[in-house]
Amino acid sequence: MIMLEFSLLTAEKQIEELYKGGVYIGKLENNKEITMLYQLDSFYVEITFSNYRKFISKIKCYDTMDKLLCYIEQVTIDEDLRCVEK
Amino acid sequence: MTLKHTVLYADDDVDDIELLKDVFLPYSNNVELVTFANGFQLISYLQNLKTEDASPCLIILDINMPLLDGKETLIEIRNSYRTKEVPVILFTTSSQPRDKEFAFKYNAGFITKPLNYQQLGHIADIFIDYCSDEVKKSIRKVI
Repeated sequence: MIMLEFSLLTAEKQIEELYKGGVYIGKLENNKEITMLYQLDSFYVEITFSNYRKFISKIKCYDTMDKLLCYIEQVTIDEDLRCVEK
Repeated sequence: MTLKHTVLYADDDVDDIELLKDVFLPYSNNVELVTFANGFQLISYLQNLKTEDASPCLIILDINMPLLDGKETLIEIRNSYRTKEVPVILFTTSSQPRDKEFAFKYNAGFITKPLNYQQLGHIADIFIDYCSDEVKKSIRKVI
């Protein structure tokens, strides 16, 4: 699926597509808002939820990797290295 | 007094724990959901169970957790005489085939986490279907 096709779907269908074929990358939390980043085929999708994933505030698509950085910064490398050392 | 069936759930994500609490809420008269922030805490709980305590009817594990991740926890569970037959589900954001294969290898279920509350749907039924027939009947009889 290309980004344009995805952006034309209803929010419900977009969530369905992400559930079926999206690869979860990471999550950001800000007060009661949660934003999750998925990769779907050749693009990325950010979903912002409010109130512990009860309501979708917005869904945005990107075809660049610029958004990845803030999600990757959430990963604690030290902890992962400790797991590898085990 | 009805004895509750115990479901254990380990996940470091507070958001997902809230999601699962809502999933089991309709069954709260008959199911007690006990949550842990990582596999290490879950294993400690299991190791501290007395002989007369009932074993959990189901164990749900996130994969990516600190200290002891879901896969390591599953191995520990299967290596213990007391819990080797307890139904276990890997409940995860992962869609990696190797994670599914791992679950299969250790006789565990594999369920992808729903993105939002609307996708919860019948997920409680899916979880309960992993329990033994006797437990399934007992839980569903109450509803």
